[in-house]
Amino acid sequence: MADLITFAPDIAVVFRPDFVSNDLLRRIAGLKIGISTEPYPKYIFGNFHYTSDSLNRLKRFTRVAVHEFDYLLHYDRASLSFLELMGLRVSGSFVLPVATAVWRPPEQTSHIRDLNFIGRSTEHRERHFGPTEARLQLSAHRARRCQRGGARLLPFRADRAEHPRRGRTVVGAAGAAAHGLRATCGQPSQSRRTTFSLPANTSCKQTIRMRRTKICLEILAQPVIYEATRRAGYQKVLAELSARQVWSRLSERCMDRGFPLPSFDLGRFRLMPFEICAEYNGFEQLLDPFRDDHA
Amino acid sequence: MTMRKIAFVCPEPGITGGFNVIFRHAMELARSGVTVTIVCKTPITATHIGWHPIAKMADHPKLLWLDPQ
Repeated sequence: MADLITFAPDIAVVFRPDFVSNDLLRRIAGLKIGISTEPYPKYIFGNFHYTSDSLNRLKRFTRVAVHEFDYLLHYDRASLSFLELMGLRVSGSFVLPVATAVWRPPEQTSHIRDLNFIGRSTEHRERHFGPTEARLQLSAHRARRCQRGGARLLPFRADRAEHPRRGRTVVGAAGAAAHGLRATCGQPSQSRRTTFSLPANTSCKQTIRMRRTKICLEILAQPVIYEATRRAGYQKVLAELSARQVWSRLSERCMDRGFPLPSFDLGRFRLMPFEICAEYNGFEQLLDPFRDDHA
Repeated sequence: MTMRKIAFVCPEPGITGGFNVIFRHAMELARSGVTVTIVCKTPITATHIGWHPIAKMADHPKLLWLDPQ
């Protein structure tokens, strides 16, 4: 990273701050801002909201305790109180901007048909692909849970029986494990395939269950409310969340030292998320999100 | 205090929503006169940005593609 050190930025913005070395941070001039964009557990109105995935991501994030960032920002304000319970007080939240120049409201995308998306199942994707799948006839997103050692993963696996002849375009992941899948999906229908590289998935040992969301049905069942909500959201995006406005506010505030410094309660920090949950809510609720994992 | 140079330090480059946002930031900042660099664990090549509009302004004088080594 000699070039980066020589570049001597006024601000170094580090995404996934848990993956950068402290040695590199010390050698970079200017303000060092870590921006966390991973989903972590939340503590809202006395209840914890979390998954095994968000707990694992939080465990990785705890590495930043020894890192020397000037500011540490997390994208989701709802998780800040939980992070504080963990002894990790970040500088604040950072609203992820929307590129309004390319963002299109849903009615303008209704012509898109026959698109296959193949990817790992995450809460975020499940929530957003569900409605999209219903609205755009997106033939997409089959994901199954698998287990590797003690850690639960959510690797992708398309439904080969259903996908191949439906999609004209396949968007998905490349890699050794995905190659056969892409070929299966794409070749029979002469699909246009857009792929990208990911590490090969060697962890798929046992299929436990398929996850599909029904949120789309709930939303579409109330079209008036849906349309009003959508329009209000679009106006808010234009007014407050455009990339230019969000970034301008963030950089100015950092340069003016307008955020508190991150701090860590190392005694508290050693507690694992399970222990925190148990202390505040007991083990019964703790186990709820995992109830179906062993089905 | 005015920001004139900014570095985005990221993990492996890929076709992701996260990199879409980062590239968009970089484009807008470069257009506004800020010198921008995006540094990943591996060098960013034309293949890594070919899917994104930033490829059309890869030679912009305010966009620097530094070697991470």
